[in-house]
Amino acid sequence: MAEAILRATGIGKRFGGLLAVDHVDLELAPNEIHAVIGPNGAGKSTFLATLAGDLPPTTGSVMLQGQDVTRLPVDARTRRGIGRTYQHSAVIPGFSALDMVCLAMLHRTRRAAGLLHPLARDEAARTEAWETLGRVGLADRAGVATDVMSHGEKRRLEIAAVLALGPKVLLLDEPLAGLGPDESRDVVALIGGLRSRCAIVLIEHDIDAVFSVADRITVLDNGRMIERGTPAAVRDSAVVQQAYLGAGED
Amino acid sequence: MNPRLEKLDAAILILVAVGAAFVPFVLSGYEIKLATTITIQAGFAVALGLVVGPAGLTSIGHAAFYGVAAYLLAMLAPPDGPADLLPTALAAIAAAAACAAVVGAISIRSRGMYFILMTLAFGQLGYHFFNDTGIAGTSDGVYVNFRPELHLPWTDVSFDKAPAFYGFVYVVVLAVIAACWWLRRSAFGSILLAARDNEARTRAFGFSPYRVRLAAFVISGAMAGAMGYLTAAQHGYVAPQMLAWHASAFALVMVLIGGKDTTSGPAVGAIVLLLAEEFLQRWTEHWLIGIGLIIVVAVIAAPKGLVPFAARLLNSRQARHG
Repeated sequence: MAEAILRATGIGKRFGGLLAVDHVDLELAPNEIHAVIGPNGAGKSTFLATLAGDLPPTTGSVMLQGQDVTRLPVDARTRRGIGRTYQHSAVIPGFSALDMVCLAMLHRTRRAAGLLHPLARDEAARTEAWETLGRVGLADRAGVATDVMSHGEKRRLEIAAVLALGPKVLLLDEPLAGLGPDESRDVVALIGGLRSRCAIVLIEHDIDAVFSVADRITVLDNGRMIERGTPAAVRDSAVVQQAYLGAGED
Repeated sequence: MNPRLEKLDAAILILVAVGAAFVPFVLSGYEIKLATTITIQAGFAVALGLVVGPAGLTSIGHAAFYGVAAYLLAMLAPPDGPADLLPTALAAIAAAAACAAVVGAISIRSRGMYFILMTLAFGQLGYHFFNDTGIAGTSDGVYVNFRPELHLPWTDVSFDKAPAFYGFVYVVVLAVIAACWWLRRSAFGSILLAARDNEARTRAFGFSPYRVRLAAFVISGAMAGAMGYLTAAQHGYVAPQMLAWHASAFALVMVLIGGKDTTSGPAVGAIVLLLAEEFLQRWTEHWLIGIGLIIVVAVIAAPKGLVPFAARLLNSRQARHG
């Protein structure tokens, strides 16, 4: 495997008496899509939050391109190249879709003095933001306020905004949650197409989507890793079938 | 901000600015002094509006920055002649900004009610510092015997006459309001709004909400200081009450009455409340009851403030006729 772009070692997260994540390792290769799956309460989102910086891990370390980012807050990790989406759509109310994407691009495209200009003033930035919206099929909704967008549009807007950050590592937390079949298909195709731009950690409950797009899969159960491998290997794993896929059920 | 409210906001600012420019030509004596007071308080309210509105920080301690700058003029002014305006104003504004930086750096770590309590505590700390110690006149306050003069290389400009001082106040307050208007519409203002309305997402865009809020708080504190300096220069007297929580709360009421989410709202709130105060005082000694009633009615009828209320009225009127 190529040198890992993101390496998490021995990640543990404890909330009082509850050990939500128990010494999980993950190595993410450049341009890899690495899915993390598991039943509800397995610790997937908590694990992702420790990678993003939303939660400091109780144990373990997170290295981004060889640099230790374990103690950095989420905004500092974002500036170093980790972008994330949230389990629930996290758009900014009152903003248009274009403004939200321009905001995401800001720290990449502006110096401090540029903060005194309106968000969408720079024509080049507007064009890039509009093209990014086009990648997720929202070009014709650029001027629409995020408040009035459908759930599916909000999910796609969030992905567009995170792409606008120009991340090296993209953390996607259930990007298909609440989407219809057509929208899900589009977003899965979009995620597959992002492989050439960045490495991705994908948390998703839609197993068919995960198997169709992931290069490797890590399976968590009760906070512990129980299996890791290619989609085919995971699909055939007796441990996974027992713990997650419901082997033995009618 | 919706486009109609944004247009109305700009229109009100232009209208008030143009109207206020005629004050020295159409009013005289006491009326010009009243207009000067209202203009300074409008500037103070607009400066406070920057943190209450887009930054979402309900400060009940801003009068401390206003008062500290006023005291600095009183302490720097020579007893037997006018102070040099530029260095004393810069020192007063820098002192206000420094105080805002310290108060903000500590208070902004807390949110909601706790932030309010922190700013209240810091404000009262400032009040008692000047009220209880002998650093500047204790509870009796301290006089500024001469209004500061602007020393230019080719001439000295005196602001002794009320129209001249009003003109100076007008220019400074206009600059403060224009700066707040600009900041609210800038990328900086957008980051503040984003941090207020979705903090997690804003962090995940690479911004530190703490830092942008602190920057807004310091800018606002410095502007409040400029207004405190003008007040001290206008009245020639500075008292601890300038820093007290009542002064902060009254400015906050101006912001909320006019509308915290617009630049013009706090200025409108200041004009409405101070004019009401002026006329009610002439009419009855129980004028505070009248002020209370005005606040209650305004909050019930226009909970988002008078300017957004006016925008909504215009909207519904257009919908009826359009």
